[in-house]
Amino acid sequence: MRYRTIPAAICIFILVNSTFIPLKSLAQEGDDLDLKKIFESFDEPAVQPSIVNQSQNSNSSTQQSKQIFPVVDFSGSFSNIISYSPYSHTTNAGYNVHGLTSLKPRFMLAMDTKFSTKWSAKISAWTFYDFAYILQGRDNYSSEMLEAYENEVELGETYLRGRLTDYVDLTFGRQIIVWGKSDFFRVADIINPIDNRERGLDDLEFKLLPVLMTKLDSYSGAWHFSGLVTHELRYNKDPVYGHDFYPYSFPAPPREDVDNNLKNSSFGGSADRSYPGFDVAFYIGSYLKELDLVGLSSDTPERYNSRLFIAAAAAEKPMGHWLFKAELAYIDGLEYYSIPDESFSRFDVLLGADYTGFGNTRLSMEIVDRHLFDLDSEIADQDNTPGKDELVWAVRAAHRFQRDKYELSIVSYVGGLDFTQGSAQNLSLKHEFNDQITASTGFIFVQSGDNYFMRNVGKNDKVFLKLNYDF
Amino acid sequence: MKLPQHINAYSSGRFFHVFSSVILVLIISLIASILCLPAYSYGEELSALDIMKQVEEKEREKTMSAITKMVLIGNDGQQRNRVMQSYTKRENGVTKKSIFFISPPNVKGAALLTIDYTSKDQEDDQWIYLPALHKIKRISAGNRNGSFMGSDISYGDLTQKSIDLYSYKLLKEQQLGEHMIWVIEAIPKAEETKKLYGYSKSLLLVRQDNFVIVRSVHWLDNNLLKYSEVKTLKQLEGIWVPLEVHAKTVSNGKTIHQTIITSKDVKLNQPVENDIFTKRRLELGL
Repeated sequence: MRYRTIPAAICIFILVNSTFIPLKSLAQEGDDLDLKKIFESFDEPAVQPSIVNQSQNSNSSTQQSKQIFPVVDFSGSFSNIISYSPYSHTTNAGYNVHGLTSLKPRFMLAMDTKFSTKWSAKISAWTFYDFAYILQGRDNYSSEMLEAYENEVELGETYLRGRLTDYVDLTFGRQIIVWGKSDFFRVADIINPIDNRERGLDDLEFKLLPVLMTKLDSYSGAWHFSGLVTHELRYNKDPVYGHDFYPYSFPAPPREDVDNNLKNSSFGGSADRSYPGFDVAFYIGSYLKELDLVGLSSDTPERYNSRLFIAAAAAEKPMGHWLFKAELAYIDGLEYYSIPDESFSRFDVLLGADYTGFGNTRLSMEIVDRHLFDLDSEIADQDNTPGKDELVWAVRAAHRFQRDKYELSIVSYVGGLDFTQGSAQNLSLKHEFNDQITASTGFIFVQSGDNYFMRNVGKNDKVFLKLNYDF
Repeated sequence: MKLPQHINAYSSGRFFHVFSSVILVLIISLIASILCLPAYSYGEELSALDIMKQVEEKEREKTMSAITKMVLIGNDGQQRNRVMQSYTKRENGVTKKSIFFISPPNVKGAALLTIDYTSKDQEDDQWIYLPALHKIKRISAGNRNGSFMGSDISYGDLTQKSIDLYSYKLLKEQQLGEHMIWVIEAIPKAEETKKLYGYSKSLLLVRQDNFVIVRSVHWLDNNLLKYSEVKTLKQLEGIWVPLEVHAKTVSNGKTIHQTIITSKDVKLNQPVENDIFTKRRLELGL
């Protein structure tokens, strides 16, 4: 409106100079100076890495890179985990723990081979030796501890995979299948056992134990169907008698002898689909699983298995900076040492969310409730039985800084809304020295609780340092 | 160089010389005083918008594949490398992009799939496959201002932004090397856009002969400026493709980090199987 009051003479002046108006007004004096200053930064000499090969850019549009088979690719890592127990404490088995608890160099090697565009294979294995037992005196440990923790040679993922048709893939061998959407808890994820010996210390890639199986995947439109049958019965690797996370003062009895045949195989099927802005998956399975150790007594002759049935579903939905996830699972056939001749059903519900609205900080939280049906309240209140409802939740905050060179994270697992079932926190700082070498250090805090597995663990805190060289 | 019509109307001056009568000039001046100046502001905005439309609508590849290397350089001169094979396909208003990480060893085998919808109402879909987790994870596409693999480019820089999200202003035109360029200021219309991409203001330097943004400066929080510059631009299959881009983050005039991005084995408009843009392929790898 103010232009309407401008005298005509000024208007003439403006019109006469209209030729210059666009550039003049576009480059106002002040702006021009600012722009000059701002643009100066473009002309500053940049650090020129010698490894950027300019000739790579030339005449590339017509290049055809043809793969020559077989393609063999080796990769692996050399790592060392050092952990230290700052508080002197006695395990349930009567062994004293203090000082160095792990000095474990581990070597992992993998070979990936592509035979053609359709067929490939992988072989991987690792080995470690933990020097902490020699340094601390092997006599200070139970034979179970030494057998389970001192050294290991393992065949990792080892399989042959191929495309039978454009829509069907076959994979045979030791493999890892992850069901569900959760990052912290296993609700639908029942196929592979886990290595739980070093709580909070081992890397993720060694956490899931591969199982020999045959798996068929088929793709129909946006749906992905998968079916599998296992040919190997593997158990979780849990803390053993003498370890500070083993809950009893007596050794666990031997496992029952189970034939490795079709009758004892696990079977599973999944169907998943991604819609725009929404993922959904359904799972069904029948599997053999060793009973939980809750209620185990020194009179128990052997650890045995029960056949479980699972029907589960999982979904993920992103909304802005949020990613919401949910998992439901109905499990039937659960048995417990302390409640003989009875079988139970359980319904697990998991809700979770990730938040990424703080730039380089990611927040994740998940809560799961496991409700056991038809469990008498009086029995549920006893010490050696599972609870009627077991609620566990976890929160993680991870912040990357210095361009992902560092990651500071804290993860907290809590049993019960009121922390009564025990809890643990892992505070760690990871540093990427270069493209091959990373190190992480941190502290694991543990708090005792009423849960049978978390009693008398309050002094199990650990300081750790992990060094990793990848190639 | 041919300017858009609404710029020509002012810059040529011919319009004014047609009229010799002072009265007529005064009348026109009066009318101009009422209409022209607001119209000029309007025209100025339109001209910038028109350039940005040309930038958006210029011929793009239907498919593209390339091996891209990012060299991350810290202020201490230390370098880290990221090498990836990427595939892009545009069809039916949807841009699909798959990135397979080749090195360094600790990210080798990881892969990222993005489905970028043109519709503003539809959030992009994004999944990542992490070999250590043995699963494909959906990730929120809302984190567009986060650094991509520790580099000076963000996830948002990898996506095609709708020009409707910004107000544009043509600041000036100038010579840059052998070419004339427009300097355009882009300001997010909504606070939401600013939060999403992390830029409160941007300057875009658009080459006048081919409508390619060859330099840009972005204003971030905490007094940071982000510069990017196309160092090598090549016409392949008739399409302009940046083959080397330098990006850096500057704080108070001091470079705190920079990234050099080079592409090789660039193939445009060659058949790329749809299978490349599936979760199946993320897990199977290249």
